[in-house]
Amino acid sequence: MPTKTDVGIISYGAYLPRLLIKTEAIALANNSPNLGTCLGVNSKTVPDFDEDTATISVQAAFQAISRTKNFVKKNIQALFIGSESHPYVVKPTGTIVSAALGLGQRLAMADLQFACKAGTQALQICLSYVKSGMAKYGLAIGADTAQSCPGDALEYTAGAGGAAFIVGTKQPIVKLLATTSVATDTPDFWRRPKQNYPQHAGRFSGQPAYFYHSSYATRQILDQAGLSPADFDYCLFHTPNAKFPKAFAQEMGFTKKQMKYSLLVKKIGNLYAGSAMLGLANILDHAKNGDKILMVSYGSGSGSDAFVWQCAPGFDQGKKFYQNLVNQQIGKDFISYSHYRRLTKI
Amino acid sequence: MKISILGEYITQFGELWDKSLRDLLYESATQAIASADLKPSAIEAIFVANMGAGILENQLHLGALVSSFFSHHPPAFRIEGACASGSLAVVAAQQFLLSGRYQTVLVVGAEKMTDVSSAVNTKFLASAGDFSREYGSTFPALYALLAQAHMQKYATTRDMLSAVSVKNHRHALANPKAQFHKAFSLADINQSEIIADPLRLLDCSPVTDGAAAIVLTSKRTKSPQILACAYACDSLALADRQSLTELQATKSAAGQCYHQSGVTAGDIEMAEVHDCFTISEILAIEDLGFFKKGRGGQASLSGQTTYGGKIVINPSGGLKACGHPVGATGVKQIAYISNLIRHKKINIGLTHNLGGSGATAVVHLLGGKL
Amino acid sequence: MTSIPPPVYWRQTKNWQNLLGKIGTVILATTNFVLIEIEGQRYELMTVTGDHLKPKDKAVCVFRRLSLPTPSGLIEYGLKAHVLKS
Repeated sequence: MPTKTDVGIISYGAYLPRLLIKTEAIALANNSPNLGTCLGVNSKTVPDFDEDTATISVQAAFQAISRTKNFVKKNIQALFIGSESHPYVVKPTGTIVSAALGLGQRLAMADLQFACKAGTQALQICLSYVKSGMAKYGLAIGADTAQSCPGDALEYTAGAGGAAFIVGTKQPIVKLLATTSVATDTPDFWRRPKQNYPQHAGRFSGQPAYFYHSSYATRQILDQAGLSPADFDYCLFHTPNAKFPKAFAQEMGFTKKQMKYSLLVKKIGNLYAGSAMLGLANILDHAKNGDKILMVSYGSGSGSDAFVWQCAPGFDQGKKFYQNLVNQQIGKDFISYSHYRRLTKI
Repeated sequence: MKISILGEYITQFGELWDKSLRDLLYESATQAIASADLKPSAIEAIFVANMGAGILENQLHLGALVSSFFSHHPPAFRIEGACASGSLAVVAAQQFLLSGRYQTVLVVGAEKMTDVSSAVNTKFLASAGDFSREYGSTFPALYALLAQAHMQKYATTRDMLSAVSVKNHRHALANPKAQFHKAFSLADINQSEIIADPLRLLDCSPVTDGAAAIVLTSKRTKSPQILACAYACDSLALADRQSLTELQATKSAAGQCYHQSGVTAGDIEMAEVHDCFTISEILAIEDLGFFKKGRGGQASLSGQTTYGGKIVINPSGGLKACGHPVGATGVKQIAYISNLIRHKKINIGLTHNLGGSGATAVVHLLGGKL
Repeated sequence: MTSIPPPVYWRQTKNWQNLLGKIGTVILATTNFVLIEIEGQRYELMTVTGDHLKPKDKAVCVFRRLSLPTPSGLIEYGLKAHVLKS
């Protein structure tokens, strides 16, 4: 759906836990070859014992809000948070976040779950709210403390972190040019309510799931926007590992240069609902006036959201407040496997 | 009117696996009455000091419990003021005697702490702080902040803190009722496990079971007398204190006692002070006027607070080595000093009992017939 | 372990926004706990694990869980002091 009114990103923030574990340490503990190497993931973030999706969401959103004028916070009237690891099954993360931030009580709010695309779905919903005039500003957050079973392949990639975007119609720094979504019942990854860890369908998660839906959404949006891969300065595809997005980009005709800032997965792992959101934040940290960005997320189960963004005139002007937001948060505190297990048992 | 201590009793302090709270209350109450050479029926009212039974074993209404030990069921009160519960019970008892309502009363303090884990005890003790303003604190952490402040301002050293612990353990060797009978060196204290920097394990008083009881009377006797008593408060949270290097409540209570009695700090021969942590003894001996502000550490290190020094602090071993059954401590301090006076070991003694991180301070001056 | 009663939790939430993101100066610090001055007021706060704050350090208030969650009770959140990176 191409957008005709100016709607877009007013501000953004990100948060990464400072603890990390090397995939090498996981392999050593499991007495197995380092799967991280073939997946292109060297380390991943680990939430500390007092961090969860709510705390990550608050910190990312606080960063976004602190870079706006006071009236923006007071007029955030839509808050949607996408995650696979909401602290409660029943009781929304969003109300905790809204209380911590001191948002107004006039608030459309719900938690979303759609695996790794829950964050971008939150973003699309907030954009719809502001575009329709139902909210003056919207706050969309994608955050996760991803779970993985010890010894499983996912243990090498499931990380933690999140990003937050404030969207509105008044002088966005990044305009939304087009957005679309696709969803089908493709069971590549799931978790039942009383299970601690998700199940996945191995290689079935590839072609029929990730690649099919990402491809569908990408072709759809390029067609709607009348653009081709060469028209973009940057592209971002979902990063369950480094291997999939690189293969996909090549298949769709995007270059390594366009992917330069979208492979944080190598250092921080897959942030699930925070993955594409953080990827966009990282690209914006490096983008300049007029840059076009293609963002395509993927969520198991399955679906994909696609967005075409363009940095608005004046984006560079506002950039002095946005230097290197994501990179400065990537920590250097590598922990042992036993420390990691203690933290992930909570 | 002078109030005398007709009799006193202290139970064994320690991990008393075979004794319940009820057992401790019963033993101390009956033995104190026996030591006063009285019949139980002579007790007109009872004051029970306890902090934790409600949290630790879901038992409140301790006044009625102790009263039921007596066939005549005297009226009974439960008094709580965190670690100052014991001496506050003595303060309360005195008011009834001074008013003439009663002539002879029993004060008993007891605590049973070892039936639960150390984690549960840590949480229970933290309730003596400001729960919402000091959320997440433990008592070692709060006193560690006080130690930090004292070390910064007065250059109090690690060895000075340790000297308090070494001295109290040495004193406890001569107290058969003490929890610990083990001597330590400065190095032992310095190398013990860090609890909350700079406080180490052997800077901290233990978890203890125990009880103590005294019989008070307003009748004329030749027994040790309470020459003065005073009670003062300060803000519950450290963040609200005017000073972090002195406990105003202690200074105020001590000042009132000296004024009431005409006794000076220099007249005190021995004192049982509230050494829940080594830093709290250093603060106490300064704020009670035994040593100049900032010099408490040096005095401890140079032997001024033991036999042969200027004053003997914590002859029983203090909270650190004799033990700290919270509700019993204030009563035990008074019982111990009273017993020294009764046996003519000293003529004038002082007790100092704190609640929380110094939000409550109670000071008693005791003396033989002057 | 008992969990926080709902009305107590509810009253606490109203104070979160007052400290979130505020920067203060550490007055005294011990293991995992500090006395800190923020905008002229003193607070006693837990610190973020792994931080070793010292007096005069600058710290920022961040949103964290305040205790290990029980299996079924409300999760307790609040503000902790975190070293401010220069």
